[in-house]
Amino acid sequence: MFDLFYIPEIILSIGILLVIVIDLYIEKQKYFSYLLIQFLIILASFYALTEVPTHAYSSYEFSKFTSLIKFLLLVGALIIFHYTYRHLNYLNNLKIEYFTISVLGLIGTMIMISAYSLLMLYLGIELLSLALYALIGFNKASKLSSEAAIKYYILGAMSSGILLFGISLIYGFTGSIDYFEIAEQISSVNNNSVQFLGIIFGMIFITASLCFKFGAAPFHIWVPDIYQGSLVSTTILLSTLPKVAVFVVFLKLYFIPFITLAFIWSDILIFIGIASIVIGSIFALTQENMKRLLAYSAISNIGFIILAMGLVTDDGLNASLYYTIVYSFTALASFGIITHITSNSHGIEDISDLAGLSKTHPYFAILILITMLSSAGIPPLIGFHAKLMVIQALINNSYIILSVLVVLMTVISAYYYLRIIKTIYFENRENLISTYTRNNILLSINVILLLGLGVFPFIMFDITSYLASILVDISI
Amino acid sequence: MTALTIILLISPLIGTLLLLTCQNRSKKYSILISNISILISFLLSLFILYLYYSSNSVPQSINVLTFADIKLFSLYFGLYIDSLSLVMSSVVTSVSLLVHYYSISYMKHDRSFNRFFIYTNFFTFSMLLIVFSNNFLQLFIGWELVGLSSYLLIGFWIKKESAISANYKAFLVNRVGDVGLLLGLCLILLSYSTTDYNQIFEIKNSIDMDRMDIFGYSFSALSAICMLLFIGAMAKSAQVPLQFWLPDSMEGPTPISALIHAATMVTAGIYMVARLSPLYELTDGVLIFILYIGSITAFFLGLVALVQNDIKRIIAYSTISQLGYMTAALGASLYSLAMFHLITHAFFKALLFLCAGSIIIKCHHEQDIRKIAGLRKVMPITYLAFLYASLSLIGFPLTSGFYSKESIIDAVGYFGHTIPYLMLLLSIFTTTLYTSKIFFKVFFGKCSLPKSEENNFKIENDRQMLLPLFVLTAPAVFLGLFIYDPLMMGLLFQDSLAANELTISFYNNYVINSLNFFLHSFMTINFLILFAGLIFSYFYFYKRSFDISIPRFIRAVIEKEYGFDSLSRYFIPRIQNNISRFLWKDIDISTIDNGLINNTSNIINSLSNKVKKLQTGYIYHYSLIIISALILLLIIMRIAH
Repeated sequence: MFDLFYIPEIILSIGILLVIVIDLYIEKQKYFSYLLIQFLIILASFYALTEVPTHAYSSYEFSKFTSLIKFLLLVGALIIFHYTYRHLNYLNNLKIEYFTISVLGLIGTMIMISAYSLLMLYLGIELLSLALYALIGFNKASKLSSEAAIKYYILGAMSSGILLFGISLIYGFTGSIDYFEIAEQISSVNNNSVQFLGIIFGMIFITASLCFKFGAAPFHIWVPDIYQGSLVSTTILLSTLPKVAVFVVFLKLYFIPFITLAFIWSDILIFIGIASIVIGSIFALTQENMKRLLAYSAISNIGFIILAMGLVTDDGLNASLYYTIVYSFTALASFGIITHITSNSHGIEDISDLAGLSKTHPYFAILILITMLSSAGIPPLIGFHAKLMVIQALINNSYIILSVLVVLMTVISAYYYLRIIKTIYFENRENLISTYTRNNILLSINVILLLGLGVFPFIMFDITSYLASILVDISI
Repeated sequence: MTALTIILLISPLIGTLLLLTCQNRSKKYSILISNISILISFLLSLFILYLYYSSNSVPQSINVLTFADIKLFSLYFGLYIDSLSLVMSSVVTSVSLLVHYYSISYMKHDRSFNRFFIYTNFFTFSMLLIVFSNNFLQLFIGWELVGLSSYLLIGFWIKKESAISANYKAFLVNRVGDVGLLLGLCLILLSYSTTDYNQIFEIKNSIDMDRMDIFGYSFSALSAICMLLFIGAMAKSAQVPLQFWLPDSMEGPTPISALIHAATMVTAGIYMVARLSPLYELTDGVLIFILYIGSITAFFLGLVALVQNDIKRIIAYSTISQLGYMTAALGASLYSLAMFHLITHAFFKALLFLCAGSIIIKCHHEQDIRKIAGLRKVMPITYLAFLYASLSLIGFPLTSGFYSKESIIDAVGYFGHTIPYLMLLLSIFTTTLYTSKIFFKVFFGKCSLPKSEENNFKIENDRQMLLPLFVLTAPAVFLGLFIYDPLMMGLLFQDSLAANELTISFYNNYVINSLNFFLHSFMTINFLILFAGLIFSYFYFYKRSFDISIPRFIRAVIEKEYGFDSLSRYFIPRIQNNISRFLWKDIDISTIDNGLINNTSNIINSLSNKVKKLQTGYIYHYSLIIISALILLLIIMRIAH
């Protein structure tokens, strides 16, 4: 049991408690505490990669797949914290609690990823949600922020209720909360029995709740308000780490306990995916607020991921993995850029705040240009390959009409990405745009990767097909 | 050799890019970059040519860089290195180099000095791309780039109305040819599934002669391909009926005319047909068509030159006529003779144009030969250079033009193509006439320059403009004599051109050797006609001892270029205008733009505005939506099962 101490969750949990205590004594040296937290994350990510116990503890699972995903999450958190610290510092709103709470949320995502029983999954989701409630309401000066926090809290509680109801249904009809045992039970159940119906009901309740956390239509309703209300640094967190974690939960739930029910959830996921893409694309068209726009764009991107997953084929799985990684990359870049910019001495709110950026800050203008083009799916940027893979998977599974619809929606969504570019490059408005740094190496690397991996897409193909292959290993 | 050839090819391109990046630098910088990049190409051409012949190399086709590889074909950048491409590249780069050097002085007062060299460098690169291409796609790309750069250069003086319409015309006429080339390319892909020259040459013999019906006539696939490709060549090499863009292209700067006429553009068509000679040999009827097109062009467009008065336009019509000779040689399967005339013509025509440029500069941009006279004393060097170039053009014995042109005429006659032979023969007379017309009018008589400049011998023109004249005179006059024997024995192009045996048999039975051909020529009808032409023009243009009035009607027909002029000026634009207007107003704006595109975007926009109201912001609405969505999922599940 000694090796348990080295797993990243334990390191982070113990470490973050220590940091809270240390921070009490050195309240003035915030930078030191920040560095401590970053060090903790680096340490955890190091152990996430090195420690790969092959055996699963009951209700908790370690495998190559989970460790790799955890590693990606930790690296993501490292980058986000880097942006966040400077952003908060710039807005004079820097508190170390922000980071400690974020780390608790991070631990929540890691528990979700490793969870091998429904209860553990619930635990992870709750830990994450609690952290997020606090983070969303962090900007106490803003009414919108508090409103968003309340909304998310109430709706989140409702969704947790739905999740618990689903879990209880599953437990009631299978007698177990362990993924593996549930799978065994389901495969032995008669398709026409009441028991089967109950299990399906349970599954759909769980799906609904997870879709809520994912921000997929028609459970997306909270996303724009919460994105708009919270700080950009919270938005960047919201739009990356939980999404990846929920995505992995989706994968594990559907491909381990519910794999025999694929003929049911496949249709449901495809419906949710298409609905998200359509709603995300159309709602975003007339948005003036930058964060709301990116929120809808996130919804439509989530739609692509769920749609690809709903195909229940290897190429669909590959495409969804690929899309998730690309989406996180792009979201990191696009929100990351916004954290750097203030317009008229507040953070970027409306798209029109960015007008004239190309003249005063050509470096950031170029970054936004590349990121938006990638999101719109313009070759040779990586966003193109991601969309291409999903559409290819659709066509391979002879969903021709759906693929046409998806392409049309992509065209529509290209409009609002291009609108941002147009505002930046062609509109002349007097905005007092300022940034706290001339350039940022991490940001540059991030954006260059969007381009570089797009020109050489095979690197990412290899990574995702490797991930897919080790995912298949554990599900058998 | 491959690496050197790549450097040769991309050196002008690098020059272009360097010039593009440093637009604000001084003139000296542009001069250095452009001239040195071409000089590198030129030296490498000569060096590789030397290497090639001295090491008895065989033709090689190398694929350097693959761009795309799909099932149907692959798109790659390749090099075809053989005697033909190397000789051609030497001609292109040498003329280009001299023109570049000449332009330094010719363009020195122009404000867009840098832009000029960007275009010319790119022009040279495009032509080299065609020359070294080893597949049809690359050929097509080069072809288009040549068209583009000629368009830019003809309209170089962008504020000159006539220049803009001229470059527009050149571009449009070339588009017609490009369509032919493109269709040929498609047909090649369709029937051979490859674009590589060598692979096509290899399977050409085994090709099942697919017959295809076009307009009720039945062609073999290969003939159709060759015919379509030749349409492309007709536009580029200004053959009837696609010739009318070339005289208008005189609106560009004079060095550009030299470049277009001698090296980088009009020769592309001839070069392509020669390059594909193995294919053309297998066609039925296409070669006869080419032969007739060539001889018709040579004779009738030569006549047009007689009634022109603009010095550059006369030389331009003479180019069309000479290109007709080359085309006729191609049509008679005398590919090496066509290439030979191409080479000699490149030099003496470049020389003529550079002389014309020198005259034009001296006369302050006066181009009408009725207003220029008596320059012999003022411009002795230009006078001599012009004399030699003219002698070569009319085919005076021993000059380069004599060997290339007389051989074509005699060979066409020797192989029994009577009607083309007669047309080419008569064309000697017109050539002599219009050449002497310029010569006598411009250099003799009372000097047209103002008194102050009349006796100013010392500054005939800048030395930079005169040096190329000197240099070009040598190949313009003597090159023919040197390469005539090896060429006719088939040694020069033995590995690259088909049907060499025809030329060789003509050489063995008729020519025997260059000296014999020279002596023999004095007893032929060719020389009689030439002599008659000289005598006639001496008395008519120089002594003015008699006057002939050509009937108005005939004169008008010739001046209007047999109707091609009005066709291109009035009828085609009018029809095209109406069609375009219909497509623009009715199809594009009202149907596509307003009907489809704007309507769709309006619908989607209003939809977005409407559904946005679903997002009320109230928590109880949100909860309702979530619960309904959950119920919706359950319903979907029930419906699905």
